[in-house]
Amino acid sequence: MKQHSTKDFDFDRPDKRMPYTVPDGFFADLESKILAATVGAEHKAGAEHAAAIGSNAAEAAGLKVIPADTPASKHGRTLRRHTLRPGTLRPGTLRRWFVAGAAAVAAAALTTMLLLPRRSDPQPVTYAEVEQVFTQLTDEDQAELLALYRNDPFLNL
Amino acid sequence: MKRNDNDILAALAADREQGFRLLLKRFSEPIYWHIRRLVVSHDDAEDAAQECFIRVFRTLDRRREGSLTAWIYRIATNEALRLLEHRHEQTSIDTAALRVAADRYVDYSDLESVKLQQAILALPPKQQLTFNLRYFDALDYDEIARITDSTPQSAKANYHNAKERIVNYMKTNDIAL
Repeated sequence: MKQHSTKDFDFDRPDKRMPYTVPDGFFADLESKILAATVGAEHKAGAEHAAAIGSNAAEAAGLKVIPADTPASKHGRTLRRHTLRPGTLRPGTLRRWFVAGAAAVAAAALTTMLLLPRRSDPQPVTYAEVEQVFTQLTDEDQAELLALYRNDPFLNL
Repeated sequence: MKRNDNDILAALAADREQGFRLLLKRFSEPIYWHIRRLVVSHDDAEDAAQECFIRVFRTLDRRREGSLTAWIYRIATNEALRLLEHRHEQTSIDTAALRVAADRYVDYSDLESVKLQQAILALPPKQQLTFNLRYFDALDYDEIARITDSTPQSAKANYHNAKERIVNYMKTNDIAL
């Protein structure tokens, strides 16, 4: 051990020096790491939760969604159908979402018409008009609408 | 511009994320140095500082009334003490000297400050903590009492005892490198 002598220490000196140092840019790095582990982790968890909800909603609507990073050769098609990631929908998926939305809107309109037939100021909507609109839908949309109608507990009391 | 506790608390109430960023800007450096003075090693201080702020972020909603500064310093102190306990280290003059001498990030050209750190590290834990909080962080005795779980009178007595011991150490010991 090397020995050094020092003079008396003055507690009232204005500069309170320390011998410790840090690497260049250390505090910026430290703040980035902490933000990534706190705010960043919270954002990531929120995004994953939203994706999980989206995936469940898609599956509930009978839609099939493929993942971005699951190689088919490794996991096969079964795994690929159960994960939703943004920007990785198959080409027909967007159209199916649209059809499902349109079918839901049509079902809501049909429900309103059926449940409110004796309003004080009835709208002049007839079954013939409903049928006409229905026939203009594609076969697939008609099937979706009928399935929705058959399974709706409020319409089938 | 340095933000005070009230600015940060108001920002946290308005927007938790933005408030936490302000809190980090205000406290990251002093909290790192506070931990560093206790654990000495730069790597350990970095780990403990990160743990401290993660804990702060997670428990922000459960914070009770009182000084934000004292609350954060208390969490930081607990993280540092937890780390030291994990190392099973006992403070003694020899180990204090070796701990300072062993770290990569120490400037040995300033011999007086090296010796002061060795003198501080040779103090009993509560005196060491109290001295650092008063001398380097300029906290008042009420805040120090909250951090060290004591009374302001006891904190004041600890500080003055620590000063006497340090003066004595500086007069009687040479720097061990």
